[in-house]
Amino acid sequence: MLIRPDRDDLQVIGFYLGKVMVGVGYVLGAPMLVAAVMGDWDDLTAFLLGAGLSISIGRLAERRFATTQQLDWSHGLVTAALSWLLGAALFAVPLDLSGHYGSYVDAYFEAMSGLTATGLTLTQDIDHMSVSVNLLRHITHFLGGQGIIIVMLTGLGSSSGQVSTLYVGEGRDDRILPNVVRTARFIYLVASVYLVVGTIALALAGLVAGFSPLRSVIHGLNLFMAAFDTGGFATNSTSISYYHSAAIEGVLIVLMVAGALSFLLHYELWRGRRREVLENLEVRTIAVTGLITTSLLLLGLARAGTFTDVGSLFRKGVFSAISAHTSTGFTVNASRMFVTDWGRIAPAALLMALALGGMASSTAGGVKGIRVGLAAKSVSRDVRRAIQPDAAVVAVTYTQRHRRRITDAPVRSAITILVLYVLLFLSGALVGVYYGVPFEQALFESTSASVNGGMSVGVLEPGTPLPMKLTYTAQMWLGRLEFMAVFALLGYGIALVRGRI
Amino acid sequence: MLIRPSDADLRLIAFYLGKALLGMGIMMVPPFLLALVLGEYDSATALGIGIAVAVSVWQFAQWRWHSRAALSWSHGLVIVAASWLFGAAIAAIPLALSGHYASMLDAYFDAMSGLTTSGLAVVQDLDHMSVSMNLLRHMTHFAGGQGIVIVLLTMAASAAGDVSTLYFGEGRDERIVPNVVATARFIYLVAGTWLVAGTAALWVASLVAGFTPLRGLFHAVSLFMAAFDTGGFAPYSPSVSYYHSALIESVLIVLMVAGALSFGIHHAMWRRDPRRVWRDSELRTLGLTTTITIAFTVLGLAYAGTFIDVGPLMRKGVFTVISAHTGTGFGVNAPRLFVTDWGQVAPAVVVVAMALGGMASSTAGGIKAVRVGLTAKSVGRDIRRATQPDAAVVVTTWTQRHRRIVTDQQVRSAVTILVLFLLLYIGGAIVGVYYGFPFDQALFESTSAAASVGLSVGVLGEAPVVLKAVYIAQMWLGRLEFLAVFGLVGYGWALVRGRI
Repeated sequence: MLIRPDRDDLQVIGFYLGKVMVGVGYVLGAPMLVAAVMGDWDDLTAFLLGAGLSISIGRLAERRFATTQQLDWSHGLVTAALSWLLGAALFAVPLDLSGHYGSYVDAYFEAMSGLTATGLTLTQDIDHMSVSVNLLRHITHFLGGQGIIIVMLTGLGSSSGQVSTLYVGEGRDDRILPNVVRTARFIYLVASVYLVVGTIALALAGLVAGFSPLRSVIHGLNLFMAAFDTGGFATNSTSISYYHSAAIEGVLIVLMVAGALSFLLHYELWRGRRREVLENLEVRTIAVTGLITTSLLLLGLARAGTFTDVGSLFRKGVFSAISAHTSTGFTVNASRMFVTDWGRIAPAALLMALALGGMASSTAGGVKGIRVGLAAKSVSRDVRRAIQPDAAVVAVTYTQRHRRRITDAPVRSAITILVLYVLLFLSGALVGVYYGVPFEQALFESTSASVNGGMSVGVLEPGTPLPMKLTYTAQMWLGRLEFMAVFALLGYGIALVRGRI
Repeated sequence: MLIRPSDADLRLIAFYLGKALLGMGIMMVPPFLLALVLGEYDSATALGIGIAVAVSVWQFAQWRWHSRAALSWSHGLVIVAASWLFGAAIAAIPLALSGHYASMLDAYFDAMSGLTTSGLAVVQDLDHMSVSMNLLRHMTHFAGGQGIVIVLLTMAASAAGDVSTLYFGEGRDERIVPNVVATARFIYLVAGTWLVAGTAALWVASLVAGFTPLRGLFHAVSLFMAAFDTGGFAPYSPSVSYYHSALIESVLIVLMVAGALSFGIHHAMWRRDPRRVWRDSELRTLGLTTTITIAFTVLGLAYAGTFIDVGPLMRKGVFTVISAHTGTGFGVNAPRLFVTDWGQVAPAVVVVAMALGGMASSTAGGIKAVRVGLTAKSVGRDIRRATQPDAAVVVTTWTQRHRRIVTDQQVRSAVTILVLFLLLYIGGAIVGVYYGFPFDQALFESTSAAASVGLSVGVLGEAPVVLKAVYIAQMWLGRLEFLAVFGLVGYGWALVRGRI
């Protein structure tokens, strides 16, 4: 029997959505300040409008739906799914007003791409975008990467019991510390240490590359947010190839890998437990898949004869492989080169790396190492069971903080999500094929959107048909929330219409 | 700890493998007799050599490795996996001697394709092949489809306990009637009835289409075996478009669907139990996916403007999707037309239909409806659980004979096999891409091989040796649904690394 959600349920969801909207308004304060300092008065107006809209609607909702009720599991999921939709809608307002987008849909796409740390972009004439708007784009990466709701709510002083289900709704399911607020504080701590160190390193590399001090700090900050949150926006249309700097690429590789590590692993490293790195199933899985995809990529590039010397083959190949596997999406060559110059094997390897993705509970997207690892372990258990005497007990274990035995329930959910991702990749590709894009290019672009990667082979551009843009937007949203929250939202909608009291 | 198989284990495996290979010899007897009657002495010689090899292997195994030990689960898996590999080698002998194959590998390819009921073919100058040899190709479908192992061992072995583990190895994990030997007898009964009725229907249809009675009978028998066992070989190179007969196509559609139904459903129909048929969750899943894929194919064909009239569009579209979804692989147009004339959407949907496949416990290949259905049900349960109050107990049920609660273990094994199939499809496609084929065409051909379908977009015709070998491995893995092959590989590993 389906139970229809009652007024109390909707009230609590509305209340927390209001809080998130107020948070969006406050976040717009940062680029507003930059716009004021730089004297971009047009953009300042846009930010004021966006912030005013967010805060007024948010405050209204908070007052109208004021409640002290706790969020239960379903509320948490529905609120998470809706906050991402609404958050993108609000961030899209100043972006649209900046005049760099063909329509509000394009701006919405950009905001969703930013929040989900994807990095696909529909910005037109990005090379002449004002510093403040460009900063906003990268701030969405930071906010979305760290988990928008959790940042907003714990930042605005909600207690742990109230928001713990939201934490899970955003696809972050390992609780490192006893409660969510302390976990969130730890996440801030790690992120801000990396923020300071990473930005300084990038700024120094920028100075060496010949930037003026101010520009190198701006680029450093933006690149840091795009790299550490495995986002992939860049301040210029040519992405990382703009810099022609091995030093910047080197720092970015470190940051991308750090971003793709789970916070559990960061925590263990923070505590000085280095054994975890060597024994953790997910780390091992990603090491293996990373090695395989990188070598396949290099093999493919060598075979296709894309580069004449070994140095640039390795530099571009390894950077692209890591950018794809961590689902960042920085590129060191023009998008169409993947189609015209990279042969067939190398893009296929890149696609595999994209699909696999980073670690769970990191800012990376994709199927994620833990799921791939659990699936592989489960198959190996089946094989071992098949060859042992009928009465033998076969137990396969893996390590994630502790040594655990493989049981059916986690394997079932891991592989189910894996299958859902594959379906998401394929269905997006079919939409592309319907609009006349060749299958492999459509699959690449669709996978890139679904795993919040952000690499492009040039299918997505401002002139892309509207239904394809909407499909990619939905894919980014579904992929970032790992399906569950979106399904809950759908189920909630059905229960509202069809359920009984 | 890994235990090394003992000598007794290997003897036992070799003994039963010998019995299985005798079946290949028995399979060649009808074409051999036909060759003598028709005076095709070259073919008769080739078939005679094949029979001689099979019988000697069997006799040698009987004499050298005779054993009375009971089979265990791991023995069963190894025997199944090995008998498909070696069985195809024996069936390839007369094919290679027929002179229609460029190499031994090509003959082995066709034998494996026949035994796995795939239907991909690398035969040359098929239109001038002798009747008896052509019959042998279709006999491999029948032998493979009815499960060479279960057929042979229930004939050879008298004790039911000895063969039950073999039964699991083939991926038919549903016992319809309690005793395995009785199950096998029931399978013969169903197949025999369909053989008589289906052949008669096809014969009448071919007479209507203008065949002489004798030729009509040959075509009817061949087509029946290819359709009911969801194989896909055809007596002539243009496949079913050779006949230009709507009647034959309709009969074939019925036979293909019958072949893709599980024996559980056949049993229910036999017992005149329509409730069991109607309520069956797997059948409902299959019905749903078939409807969806047909709708999208027709839409894609209309969109691409492949056909001018609605009539041919529906006729070719529906036939092709059913041929793909049931894992048969009959074509009603030239392979390259998929690439040149069918647009982008329709072939993509055909790939989806091939990948999904028919029902478990049937001769169809692919992921199978039971796995698709269980996965969907499990996702549905997750959604319901997410929207219900935290304390609510949410279960989902699956009806196959009885209504049962879906467990994590069932779903785990269903989704595992589903993912392995996806990897097999994509893995084969990547090898195709490596040899310079476009990704979409390579994926089509690889899916067709791995799901035992047999439709082709023409990649196979130009495939280098390595790619052919990959397709052979895919057909073998896909037909045995991985586990038996894993058992064989694990056994090999245990032989090398295990301790006594």
